[in-house]
Amino acid sequence: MRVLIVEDEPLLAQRLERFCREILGETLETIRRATALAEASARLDEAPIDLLLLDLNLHGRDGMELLKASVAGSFHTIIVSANTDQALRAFEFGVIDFVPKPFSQERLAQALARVTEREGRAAGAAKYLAVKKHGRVELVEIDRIVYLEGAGAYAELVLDDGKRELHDKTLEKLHALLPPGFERIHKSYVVRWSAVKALHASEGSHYEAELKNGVMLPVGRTRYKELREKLG
Amino acid sequence: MDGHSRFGGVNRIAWRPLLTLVVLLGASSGTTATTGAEPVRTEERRWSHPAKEYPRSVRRWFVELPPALQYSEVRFRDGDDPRWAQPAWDDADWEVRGFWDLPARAGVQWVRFRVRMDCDGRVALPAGIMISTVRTYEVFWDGVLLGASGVPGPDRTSEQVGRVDEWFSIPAPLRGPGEHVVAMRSSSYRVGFPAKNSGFRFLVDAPARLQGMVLREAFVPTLAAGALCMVALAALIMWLLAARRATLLLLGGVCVSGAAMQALQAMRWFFQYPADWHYPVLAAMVGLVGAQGVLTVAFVAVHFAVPHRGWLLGGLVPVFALVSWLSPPRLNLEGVWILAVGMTVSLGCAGWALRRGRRGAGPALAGLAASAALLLLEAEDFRASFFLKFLPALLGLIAAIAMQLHDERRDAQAAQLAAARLETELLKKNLQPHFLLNTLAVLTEIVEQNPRSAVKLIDDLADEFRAVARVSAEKLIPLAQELELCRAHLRVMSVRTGQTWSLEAAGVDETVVVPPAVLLTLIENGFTHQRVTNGATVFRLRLERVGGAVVRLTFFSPGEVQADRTRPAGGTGMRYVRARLEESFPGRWSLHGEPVAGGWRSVVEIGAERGRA
Repeated sequence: MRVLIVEDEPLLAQRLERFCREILGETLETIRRATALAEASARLDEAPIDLLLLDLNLHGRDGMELLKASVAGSFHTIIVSANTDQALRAFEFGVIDFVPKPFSQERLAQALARVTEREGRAAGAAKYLAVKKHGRVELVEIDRIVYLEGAGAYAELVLDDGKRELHDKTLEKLHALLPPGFERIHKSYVVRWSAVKALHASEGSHYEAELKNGVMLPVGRTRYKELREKLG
Repeated sequence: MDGHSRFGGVNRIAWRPLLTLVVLLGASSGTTATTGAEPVRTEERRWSHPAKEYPRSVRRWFVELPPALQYSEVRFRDGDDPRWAQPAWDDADWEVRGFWDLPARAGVQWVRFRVRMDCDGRVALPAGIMISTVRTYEVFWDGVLLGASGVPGPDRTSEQVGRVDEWFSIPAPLRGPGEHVVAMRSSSYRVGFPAKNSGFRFLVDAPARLQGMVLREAFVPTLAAGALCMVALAALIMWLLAARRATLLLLGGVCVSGAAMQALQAMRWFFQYPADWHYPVLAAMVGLVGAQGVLTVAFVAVHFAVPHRGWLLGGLVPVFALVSWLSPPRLNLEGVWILAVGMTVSLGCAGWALRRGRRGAGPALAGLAASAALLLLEAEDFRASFFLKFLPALLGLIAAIAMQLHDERRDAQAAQLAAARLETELLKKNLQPHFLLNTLAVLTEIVEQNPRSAVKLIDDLADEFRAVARVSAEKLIPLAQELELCRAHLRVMSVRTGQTWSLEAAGVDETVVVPPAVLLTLIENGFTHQRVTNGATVFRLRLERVGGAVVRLTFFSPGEVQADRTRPAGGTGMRYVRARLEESFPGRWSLHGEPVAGGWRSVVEIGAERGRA
């Protein structure tokens, strides 16, 4: 795993780095430090990362913009901050966890687990997904998403009006952020379960989900039985 | 009694054009004296109701007399002859003069006139006579001596002064319907009034009715004197116990001069004072009205902070003198004119205040306008129901004070709330979770890495909190304490940032007082908005005295100002600093900041009378 720490207090950056090394052990590929997000973006251009540990004051517009820019990236973001009153807001914007300061190694391990574990989910429910569009970051309401389609390192969000938005995160990472109610039906599809009308099985073990808007999506063979039961 | 020519006929004629020019009041009318006209000789008697014979200023006394009552013209003769008292004496060759047109200080004189009730004989002529005059006289009714006021004489030494108001009763056999002859033997060396002529007021009615008139005349000024005294006392007590402000004393002054004036007015009816007191009493009343006029203007000018009020008030005195010199030759009209000028200037000030949106200007203006209108309506005599006329203005002024006190109390409450809020803000600033939690987070790391250093950080943190606790309840603290607070904070921040921060304040007078946590806020802003460059970690404070009591604090905060965000002028930190400065130095401070080489400079000036930055 490639980690970037953004923290302006050297002792705390040192603490975060030490804990990451101890928790992630061998799985930690690289760990770098920056004192401010502006500096961090330069580091991001140098080499991609999987996880950003960010100390960010969300008060004011600047903080919000920086958070949006961060969560629109391909990596997961964990906020490490003393401003616990901003935790809810941070979760709405799609951070995978919010670690309040001061923090223990156990609490950081818990946050890292959300990123590293296969079925790891965000600690809170996101309301928006930030997407980069024309060089700007825009927010998409999760309520408007019908399904998500994976496309390698990216994912496409398909909205209720048929529009598609490209997101830098992988389908797995996005699924981890989404609130309950979204089901992985195929290696390339995550769908809002309430949007599913019926499941169809055709010859040659070809499975499909019919959505209420008429769209047909492929269903993975391994997932079909479980989904069938869930649909009742 | 109130109408006396102070200037001779020639003087009066000279003043007339001027008087018509000065249209302050419609009050230049009112004299019925006929000085300068040729004496009229006539056999025919001219009859009329006395209300038509008297000047308007005293006419109110006569309108209540029986409508059927009629007086003949007054006939006048110099000299002295006891036979002239006889009703049958032929006075056809005597001079015809008005009741108010008898020569003053000119030996013994006689006047004769007739009184009748034109009815069919069923109604007897009322039995009482009331005479008001500063002249000394004996009065005869159908040849019978009814009585005297003083002793008339051919020169000043032999004359003995009587009383201004005297009452006589007509013996029953002499009442009856038909014509009655009134003869008065009089002299006027001690009349007091400087005018060349004088006169008398002659009332015939039932004694009870005459008494009623007097009671009514006395009632309002008596009431007024009492009421005004109470208001004056209330104002004085408020000044003593509640609010030491000039307007309360001025209001008290307005009321005291009004009360004194009204007491003099009422005194005439309670103590029949000697006739030669009358002129000084009236002069004193005019003086009191003048004082009241000046004080009213002063009140309005001071209350609404009218600019150049010193000049305005200083200028008013000669204007009053000029007005009383120019006013028609009647001692009560000086008072009317002075009041008119005072009201006009007060109205001007109140109007100005209203345009400026001053609180209380509305009621003050309305009250003054109502009073001015009432005075104009009955401009002949300012003393008649003076109190009722002045009451609206008085209420307006009291309302203005009340509104001001109300506003001040509200402001004081707001200030108290603001002070409490500022104290809370100061505590919050230092106990705020962000600062504390970050420091604790650092502490957890140090505890695990180097327990000995952890104790040091805990000590530093405790130092800072102790410094905060010492100043949190204060509005102003010596600079020494503020520097101590800042340095305690910098020690904590040094541990947190891993750099050694310091504050240089060499040669600064540490006894200068400042609001608490002002410099601390500037330091915090430095940490928030600036980034260390070239290892510069020294804050610098310079203090200068720039003329008088003005202190200038120049504070340098090191580090590059972060490019993408200009330091917010209205951030919570700077709002705190501004609120604190305004709390302790209302309107006398300035604050501005600017980027300079290697950092940010904030300049606070305290004590300067100028706008806020």
